[in-house]
Amino acid sequence: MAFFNLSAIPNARRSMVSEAAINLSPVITMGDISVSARVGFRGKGALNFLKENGFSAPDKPNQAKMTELGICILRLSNTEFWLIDSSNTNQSVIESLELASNGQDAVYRLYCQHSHGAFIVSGAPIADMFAKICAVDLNIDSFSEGAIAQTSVARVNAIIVRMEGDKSSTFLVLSDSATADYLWHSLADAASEFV
Amino acid sequence: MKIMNCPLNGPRNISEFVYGGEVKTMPNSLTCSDKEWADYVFYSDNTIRVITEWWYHSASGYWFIAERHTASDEIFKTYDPSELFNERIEFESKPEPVEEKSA
Repeated sequence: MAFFNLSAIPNARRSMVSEAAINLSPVITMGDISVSARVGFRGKGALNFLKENGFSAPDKPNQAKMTELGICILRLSNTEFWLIDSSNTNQSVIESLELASNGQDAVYRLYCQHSHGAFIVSGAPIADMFAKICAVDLNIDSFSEGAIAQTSVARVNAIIVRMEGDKSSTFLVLSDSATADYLWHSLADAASEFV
Repeated sequence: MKIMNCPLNGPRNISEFVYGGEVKTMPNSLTCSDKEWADYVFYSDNTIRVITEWWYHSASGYWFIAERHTASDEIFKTYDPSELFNERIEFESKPEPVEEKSA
């Protein structure tokens, strides 16, 4: 079997978002990265497995870390990790990691490639925009660089990540593929106020 | 909006949580009576006291345990289930397969 998981084949992926080009605000930009490669692992052996394969994960849950390759490692709980290739240039790295996990003890592959939609939302008033649709305070003082919030956004579940460094006014947003299109349009609607 | 403190994610609106029933010791399904099993699956004491319950944070898919007063609805404590459950529970033998009888 060449691929452990069908989702590793890039040309077989598609986004659930319709009208991806929609953008109503000049100060907040949105990009759909649902087809970018990603892989997830869960289990008591997941942290060590990543370490052995050269990925140092964040120390605490709900923290994210960017690798030199540009792959974002999300630690969603003590034993759950997602690796997101937001630039979509590391397909082979994600693919080989996925294959390496096959048969590992206490490491379980998560099918987050096709279970979730992924967006990049960026702009100076990003926290104010999210305050309209999310109950968690996402201002930089309480939601620092690399922080993750798993919460309700526009009444659907989402994972929000504040990127690090010069991308600190950029959020990575993941939501179930069934709600991705709705959330995309809700975010665009929320952004339209900021001109 | 009521706020609940999730041990993994911190304070969140109560609408993000799902109730999962009282924490009870599971009887050995291989040896217990039907009444004991029904009591475990379906019934709760429904008394006024502080009870230990399962709760689920739906946005992160995380189960945890909360201690809550059934009358005041005050939540005293929430914690990771690993504080109570630190090993997998296995029962020794498997049940005999039930043969379907034709009518």
